[in-house]
Amino acid sequence: MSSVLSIQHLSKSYGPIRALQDVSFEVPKGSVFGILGPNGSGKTTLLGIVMDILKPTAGNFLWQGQPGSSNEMRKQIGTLLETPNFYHYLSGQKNLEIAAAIKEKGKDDIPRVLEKVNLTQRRNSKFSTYSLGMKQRLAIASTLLGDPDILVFDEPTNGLDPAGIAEIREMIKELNRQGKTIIMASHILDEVERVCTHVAIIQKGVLKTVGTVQDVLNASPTGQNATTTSEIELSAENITALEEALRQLPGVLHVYTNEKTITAEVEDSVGASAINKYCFEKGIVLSQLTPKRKSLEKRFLEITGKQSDR
Amino acid sequence: MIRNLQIEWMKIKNYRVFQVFSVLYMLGILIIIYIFYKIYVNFIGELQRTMTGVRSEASDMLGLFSTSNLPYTVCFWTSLLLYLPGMIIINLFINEVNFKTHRQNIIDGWKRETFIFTKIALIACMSIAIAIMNFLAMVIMAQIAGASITIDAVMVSFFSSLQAFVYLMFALFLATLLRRSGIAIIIYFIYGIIFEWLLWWIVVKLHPSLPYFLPLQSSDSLIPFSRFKELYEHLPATGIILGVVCAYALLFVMLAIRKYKYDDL
Repeated sequence: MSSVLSIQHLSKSYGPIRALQDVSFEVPKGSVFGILGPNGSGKTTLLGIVMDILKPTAGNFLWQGQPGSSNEMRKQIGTLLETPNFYHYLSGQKNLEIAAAIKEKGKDDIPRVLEKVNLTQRRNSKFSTYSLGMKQRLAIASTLLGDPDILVFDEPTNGLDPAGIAEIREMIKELNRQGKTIIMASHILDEVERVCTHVAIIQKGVLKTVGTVQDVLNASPTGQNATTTSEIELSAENITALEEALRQLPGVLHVYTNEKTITAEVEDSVGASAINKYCFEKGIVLSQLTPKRKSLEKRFLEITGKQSDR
Repeated sequence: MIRNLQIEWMKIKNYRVFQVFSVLYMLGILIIIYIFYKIYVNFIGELQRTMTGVRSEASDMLGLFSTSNLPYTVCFWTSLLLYLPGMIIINLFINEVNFKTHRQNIIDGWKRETFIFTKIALIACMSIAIAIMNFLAMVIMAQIAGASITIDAVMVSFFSSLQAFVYLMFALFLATLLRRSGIAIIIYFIYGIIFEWLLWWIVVKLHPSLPYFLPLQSSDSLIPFSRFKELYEHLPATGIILGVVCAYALLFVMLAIRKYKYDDL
């Protein structure tokens, strides 16, 4: 899979503050690439650099093999960065006309993109009269002008109501099904997990991990992909005996007891059938045995720690 | 560049502040020179009455509105209003910063240089428009005062466009540097109205011609107040002043481009 964006050793400092430190990764063509990190971790700084509105302190980046500062390349990318940036005294339609003129696209595409984000009826209203969600939808409409093959979204569901969030997530999936590459920064773990195929986790400007969502989920807590783990939920009549038995089973890394169930984190080499057989031999009849998919939230907390000042 | 200017026009043509300030400025040019003319001729008429005991019809005794002096008189007075388009430039640029549209234009595919060159091109267009307005004011005043329009009027109009370009580029440079509308406008006024005159008092002691080399004063010196040209006895030759004005214009252009090209947006 060829890469759409290649980031090489990017660093950015604001005086003594190091917003990005030697970040390198590749965004594969056709992926939905999530950049995940707590607030202030450097996600927007990273996207600002690759869109040439911030200057890196060190490192460089290539868009489809072309130097990052190429404006011709940026015309082919639909980008929503941080907040919707429009002329507040102009209507949605007029704002899109300006964006289309800069991108050297015709006005013909404007009705289509407005319809796509349900803003056709308000197209002639001033931007300053829009709600936060409408502003966000207009910004998304602007990114779709000219049907670009690459889209960059920074917190795309900001300010949207639940229905709007679902619509945008579905739209991102649909765009990806059409073969478009989408780069998406978010601090909403659930959003990344639902939408993205690949993920990079950044904390305090440092790239912690990068890969497919599945690879990142399967990596061991100590990282380096040395051992992949999964979680299994179990239940039995004698929960104490089950817990004790599981703790003695090789390959079981952690056992968490709830009121009526036990969640065991196990190495992938230990399958559900092996556990079932082991418990039966120990005289424990399982009433529940459910392999669980590890959540990105859990993996994220493993990587970044649990402190609120991550 | 024509295409970029069209985009710039799309941005500003519906902006109420731009519309109001532009109309105010255009009316202001005609009003300020007409008010001065009325006060001046009435004052002269009163002076004649005091001296001769006869109230004669108001006249242009000092020749401020004679064919040779009229272009200078008109452009001297209208230049006092140049702070108004300067404020428009500061406002337009800082609006882009406040609403982050200066970033969005780059994200959408403009080069950083394109963005700032377009603003400079807008300033060039405004300077030409100001020269045309000044020329029209000369034509109107010539009709009122009974003077004629000569080639001098065209030359002085050209000087007024250079003067406007320096004033507006200085405003743009301040806007790129400070990025705060209020501060930029205050410094623009304080520098032009107070600080450069303080500098005048300091540098004149070093050499009587030095004040004419100050940034805004050099462009003002292209259009000395008619009739009182003796006040400008140390004024260097027009060619030298033209060179200085062009150098300042170029300096402000370079500083604005450099600031915008290399800074984080």
